[in-house]
Amino acid sequence: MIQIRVRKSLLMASGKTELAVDFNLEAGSFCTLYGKSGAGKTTILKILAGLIQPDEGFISVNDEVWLDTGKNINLPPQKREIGFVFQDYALFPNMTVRENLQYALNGKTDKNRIDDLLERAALQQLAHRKPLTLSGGQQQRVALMRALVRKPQILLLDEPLSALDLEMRQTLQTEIYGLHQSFHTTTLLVSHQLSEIYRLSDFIISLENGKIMAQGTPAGVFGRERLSSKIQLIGEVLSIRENGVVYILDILVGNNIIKTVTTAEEVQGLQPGDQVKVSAKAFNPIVQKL
Amino acid sequence: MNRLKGTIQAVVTDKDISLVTILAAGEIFSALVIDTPQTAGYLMPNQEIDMVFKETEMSIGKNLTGSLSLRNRFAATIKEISAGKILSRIDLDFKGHPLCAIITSQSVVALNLTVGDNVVGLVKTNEVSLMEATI
Repeated sequence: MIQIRVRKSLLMASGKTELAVDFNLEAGSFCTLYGKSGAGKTTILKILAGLIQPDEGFISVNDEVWLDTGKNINLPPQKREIGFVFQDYALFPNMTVRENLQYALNGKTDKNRIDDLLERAALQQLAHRKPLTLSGGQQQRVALMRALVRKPQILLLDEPLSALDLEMRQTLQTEIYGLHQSFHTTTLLVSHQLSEIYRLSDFIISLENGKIMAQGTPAGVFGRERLSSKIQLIGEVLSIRENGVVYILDILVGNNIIKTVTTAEEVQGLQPGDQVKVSAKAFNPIVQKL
Repeated sequence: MNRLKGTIQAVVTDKDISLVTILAAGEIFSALVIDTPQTAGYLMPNQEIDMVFKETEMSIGKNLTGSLSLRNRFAATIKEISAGKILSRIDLDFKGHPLCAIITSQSVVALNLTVGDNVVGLVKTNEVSLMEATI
């Protein structure tokens, strides 16, 4: 169990905000921090990692106190067992893939662990390459494995897939899911991609202006209005075209673009880029063997 | 989407499928859902629910005679017609509740639909979704 209770005054682009959160993470859970930019998501990750000091706070990880401002306890970042993956890979460019993983072990050697991780990420053939010769997806794989090589108590993922194209994002989502299934590392992800959140997390904390607005399972937090419809897809609006008394919406769901007919009321306030839930009755689809 | 508040009168279940009878604005409606009282706790008599159905899944009848398999049929009055080249939008008043049907403009002409007409709204049972009542 991980307990986090922190308070900090923040100076955001929108002005002064007070970050004040109090939540617990079950060991082995996959939790997503969700919210607009400026909500305080990344700040929470950095406080957990010890990179930012809160004005007041208490953090305990599996019964070990990392931070207790009341008792002047504050473990430095290197003493906190965390793995951190950023959006921009942050690999050492002068080291090979293997050396990047080796460096994270702080001088210890664990060849088996490194080989196992390289194999899981299909990086064995690239182990001797320097990061800049790799694709974005491969670099982010290395960053992920580097974060895991030390067997962290918490894995912190700060929008790790947002710089990647859709296909690579989905591939890495599957890999992150698989790694979590094998290692059960308690994971805290920052993301605003609903499809990603639904796919990966078992718990969501929704933040707004530094405060927790809702927490629970993805269906509990986002599915307040639960329709009985059995076909429910999460997608991104690509385009909205007026067509007489109706509108045609192109919605990207996974790799597929689906088209829907909607009324003026349904498209009100909707614009390309918005995330939407698409519901249809189980009776509509026609199924054909391929 | 069209939304009507109602109260569940009865639920008949066969394996995964339930036929739900609902009383809304004094009329009886039915909805077919792939849910059972076990998978959706709100499927029980006297429970308030919202019925939801798409505008394009609603049909309009006028001077109806003979038999029809459609279970959901209710008297309504045409408040407004917005005609497009292919599709038309018919805004209806059903006992004070606004409903909307999107049908072909050909049908509007064929049925000679005009504002103020008393018509019958028709919705197939399997096109009605249910939602736990919102406050």
